[in-house]
Amino acid sequence: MSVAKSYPTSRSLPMGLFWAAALVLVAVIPWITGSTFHFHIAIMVCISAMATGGLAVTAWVGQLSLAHAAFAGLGAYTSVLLVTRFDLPVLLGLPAGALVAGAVAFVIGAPLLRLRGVYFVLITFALNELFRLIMLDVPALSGGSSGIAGIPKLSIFGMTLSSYEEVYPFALLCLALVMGLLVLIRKGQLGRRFGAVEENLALAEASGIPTARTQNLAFTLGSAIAGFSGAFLAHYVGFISPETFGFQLSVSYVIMLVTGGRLALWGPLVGALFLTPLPEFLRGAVEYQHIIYGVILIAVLRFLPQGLAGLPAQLSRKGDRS
Amino acid sequence: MSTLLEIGGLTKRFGGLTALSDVSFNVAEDAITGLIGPNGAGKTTCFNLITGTFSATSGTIRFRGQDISGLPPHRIVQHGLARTFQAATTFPKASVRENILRGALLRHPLGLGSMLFGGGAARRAEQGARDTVDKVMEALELTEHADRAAGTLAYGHQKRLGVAIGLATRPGLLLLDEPAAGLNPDEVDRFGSMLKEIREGFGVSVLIVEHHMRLIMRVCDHLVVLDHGEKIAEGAPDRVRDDPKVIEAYLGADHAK
Repeated sequence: MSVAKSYPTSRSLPMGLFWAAALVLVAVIPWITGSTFHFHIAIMVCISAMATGGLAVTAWVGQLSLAHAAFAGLGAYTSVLLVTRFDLPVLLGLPAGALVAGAVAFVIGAPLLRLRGVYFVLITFALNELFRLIMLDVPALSGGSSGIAGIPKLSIFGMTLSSYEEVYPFALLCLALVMGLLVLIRKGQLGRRFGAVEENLALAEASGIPTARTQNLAFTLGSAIAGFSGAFLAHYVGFISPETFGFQLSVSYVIMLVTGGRLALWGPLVGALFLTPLPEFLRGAVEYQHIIYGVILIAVLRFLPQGLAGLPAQLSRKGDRS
Repeated sequence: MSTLLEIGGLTKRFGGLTALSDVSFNVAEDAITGLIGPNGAGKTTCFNLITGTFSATSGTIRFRGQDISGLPPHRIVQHGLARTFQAATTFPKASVRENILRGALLRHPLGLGSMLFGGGAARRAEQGARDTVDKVMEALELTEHADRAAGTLAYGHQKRLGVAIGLATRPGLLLLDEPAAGLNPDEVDRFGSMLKEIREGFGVSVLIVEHHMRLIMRVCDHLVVLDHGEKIAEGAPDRVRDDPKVIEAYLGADHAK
């Protein structure tokens, strides 16, 4: 069992530098190869990592949401509708998407989070389906089953990011902001509260932590991040429909989170980095994506209970023992 | 001695079952009060009502003159009533120090901004809380285990850690739910001594629910006895011990003559 908030050992700083360097190296791959395909995958990794990061925030208080795609969809539709109908700049549409998704999460979070464990998972699963069915039922807003095409591209201060090469730095910046927020949550006093709620809800409550409010705060923040990622996705891909945000997407986020490490700070990034490109590179295997994800999930649960992000620690413990 | 906690006409019904019926008693300041009774007497129900885990069907709970009945547990801790749990209850993945810190931070509240971005207020809060943690760890002899994960401690140490977390919230009244359960006789004796030291050192009153009669007789200044959901006796330990009603409740009517 590892000790949370362990004190830095002499080894941890160089290891941190090593991982930071590795991350930078991975991030510059598209510029090295210059391949449009690689740029596209890298952007998709950024979007998935942001969404999974939001899911992680909710997971840190011990709740697993299967409605994460619905909140991404809420953000996407909010931004798209504001931009196309009210001529809002896309740069403002993204935070507006986050705001609406967060506000909805805040309102429904209070009654929803009374349910715990598998019951919360089930109710959020139902909510995701409800979102999809409602959106299909209001074609005036959602475009119905044919969706909304020709969504305005991402643009910053009137400058449209029309090529993959232009979108990628902006995607990296957004990802850095989201990861920065995650670091602040995790390393500050809020992370201490989240950890207490996740580890032992009854004891956290008995220690004076308002557990219901803390869980709702996490759910609100996490769902707002989902809304932001969904809005980004909509303006990047240029097409959304209610089916885009079905529960399969929620499941994908959960698998990325668990694969990366449910409770690890860098888990969402590692999970998205590993799983987003995988189906793309296995050419012709895109239709088997869910099978591949399923197999990986089982393998991770069996062999890496702390996810890929916990792998170095697990290996070094093995090394110590031998 | 002034009254810290006033229980008035406390009643709890679960469906048709009356777990606690019109129970009234007071807990005095600077005392160790024992709440005892045979299995099923309603001790734990009473405990859970006071700590806000359940809400009472009727009756009042006043702490330092303020009505606290019906408040959620985290608000009751803020009023100065901290509880421990029957089983060894800790934050298993966190270090012992971190466990106690999570309790101590109650007395150093922060806004959302300081929680996220740190800064001077957050640093001062953490420093203040750490001073409390050091004091509490010393009192409960946990200092040498400060950096170990709570889940890896021996059972007896985990139970002591539970008390430490409660004590770190700087309560006026500490409620202990069967602190001796699962401890060996040596550990029970050491715990009894620690309890007396804690009362002196932290100026805290104690309400203790316990089966372990030797511990109760050794540490308690005052006893309240429940049976079948009703209060059957109250008073100093040696008087209660000889009360025919209490003997009947524990041993049956044959022994009470």
